[in-house]
Amino acid sequence: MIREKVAGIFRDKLHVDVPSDDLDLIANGIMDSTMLVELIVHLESEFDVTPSLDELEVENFATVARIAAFVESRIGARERG
Amino acid sequence: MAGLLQEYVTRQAEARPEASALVHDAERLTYGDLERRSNRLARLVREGGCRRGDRIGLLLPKSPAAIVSMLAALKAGCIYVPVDPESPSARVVRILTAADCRYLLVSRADLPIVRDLTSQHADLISGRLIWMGSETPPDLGIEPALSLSDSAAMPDSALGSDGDGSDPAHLLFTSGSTGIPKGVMVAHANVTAFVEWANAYCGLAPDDRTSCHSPLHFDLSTWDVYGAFAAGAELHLVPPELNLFPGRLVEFIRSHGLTQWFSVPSVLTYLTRFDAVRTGDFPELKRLLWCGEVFPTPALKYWMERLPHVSFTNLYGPTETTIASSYYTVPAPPQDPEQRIPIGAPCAGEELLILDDARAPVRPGDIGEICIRGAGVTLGYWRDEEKTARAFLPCADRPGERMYTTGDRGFRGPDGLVYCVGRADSQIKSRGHRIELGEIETALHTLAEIGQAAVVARRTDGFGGVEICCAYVPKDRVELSPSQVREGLARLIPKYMLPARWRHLAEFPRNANGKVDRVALVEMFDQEAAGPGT
Repeated sequence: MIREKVAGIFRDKLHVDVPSDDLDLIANGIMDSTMLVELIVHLESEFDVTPSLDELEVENFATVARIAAFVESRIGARERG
Repeated sequence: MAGLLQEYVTRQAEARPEASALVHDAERLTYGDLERRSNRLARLVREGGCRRGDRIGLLLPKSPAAIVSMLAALKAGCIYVPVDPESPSARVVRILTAADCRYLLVSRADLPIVRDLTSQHADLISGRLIWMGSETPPDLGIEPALSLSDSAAMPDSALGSDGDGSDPAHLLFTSGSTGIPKGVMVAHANVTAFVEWANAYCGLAPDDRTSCHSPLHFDLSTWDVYGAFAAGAELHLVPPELNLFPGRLVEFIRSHGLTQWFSVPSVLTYLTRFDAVRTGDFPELKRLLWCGEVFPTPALKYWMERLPHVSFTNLYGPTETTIASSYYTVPAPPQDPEQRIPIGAPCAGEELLILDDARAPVRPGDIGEICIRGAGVTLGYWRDEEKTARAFLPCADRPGERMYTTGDRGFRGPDGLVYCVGRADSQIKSRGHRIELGEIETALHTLAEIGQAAVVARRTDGFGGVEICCAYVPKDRVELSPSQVREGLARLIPKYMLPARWRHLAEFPRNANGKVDRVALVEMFDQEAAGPGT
């Protein structure tokens, strides 16, 4: 569900067709700093999730799947209080 | 004063061969290493037939091999042409064709551009490829004419030079409004003039550790490289992949103990957005400089308040007048977020003129076009006398001298300093890149599905300063999504030129003359950006 929404942000807001959720967006030169900032704005409005400086890392942002996993973990942490 | 750029390295190698010159990841080169490697490579290309004035294309990622190649090209009397290996093939091919390179240096077989060149443009590179990887050349589909390992057999002693300071050292290709990038011919003497002034002004010394943040096809990197070598300082190549992650970029400055940092405002503003800088951070940093676009005053204030021990210097100047032509060191953190930071006073040997349409000086305080003359004025555009004649004009009061008409609008303030207020045409600055909107439109119109397209820029308070927006009408009313257009465009122009906002239109708004109403388009995109849920 979250993964679909993240993929939807890429498709409908950033206008990028990402062929696979596991495609490395950074190594393949798809994500640059402008797109990352845009993405973060959309993650904030869609999920109310803002990555901290330490979370803004390759591990969390290299693929659609990883971005979704990161958002999921943050939402999970929030719900557990 | 050095007459030729490569002499900076030779001088350091003679005086301090074991001093550290270059740091990149785990690799560290001394001045002796740099001198010997570039001597050997220079001999190799000379034996391969290179003569004074020949062009050598560098399709290399930022790396010690790229720096060695730059020096080797100069030592062979050649002109190097740094090309962004991330740029789409179509653009690289246009640049390589225009530059008419004797050799093309590549070091990575896995780059899409290298695969495209060998498979589709063999005629352009056949007999011209030099493999610069440290390993044996992989199967590129084309046999390299030479390879780095061939240079091992060459003597590493210095080569004689019949070069002259007025010779072009490199061609730097910038965005052209008609879709064809323009190659600015930068002479050795243009660069040495700036280096001598800037190094003295910043007090660069052998114990300095300086950044090379800009890509090597960007003219800011020219000072990074030759400024460090002239001073005998240690140059730290900043891996471009750090740009995405603010935490890693600031950690790079910290862990390398950099004493000077030079980049573009968008990077600095990006770091403020994530509050990446601590109070009193980077204790060894002495000076931070930026160039290429306006540094938003609130972001500048953020930096200055956190780093009271650092000097903050704004540099201004287009590639056509070499790195920068004026400077301003901000004395204290600006308190008013609306405060305009001047582009300042001319660097030594330069002059900034504010001229009206008739090319006469305006009155102090009036706005006119900023024109530059002096030691930095380059030789003009490569093999384009027409564009050169249009932009580089003779000075009426100084026979034989030329000035460059920047297209930037500005005025001289009561403080005697020059302030820049924007452009007269559709050139924009985005993240330090100079972009002609016309180049994007030209590329769009080559896409078969596009009936008509227009590209406009809207100002934002975001870190980029401006946002590129594209409206299009498909041909024959076909279904055409923004992502399809974006994908087509990405094959033609660099990523930094790709529009951030898109609008599919049935028809364009027109003004009274029947032309596309660009003001209405900007308003449309402004509304979209401001509106909820868009």
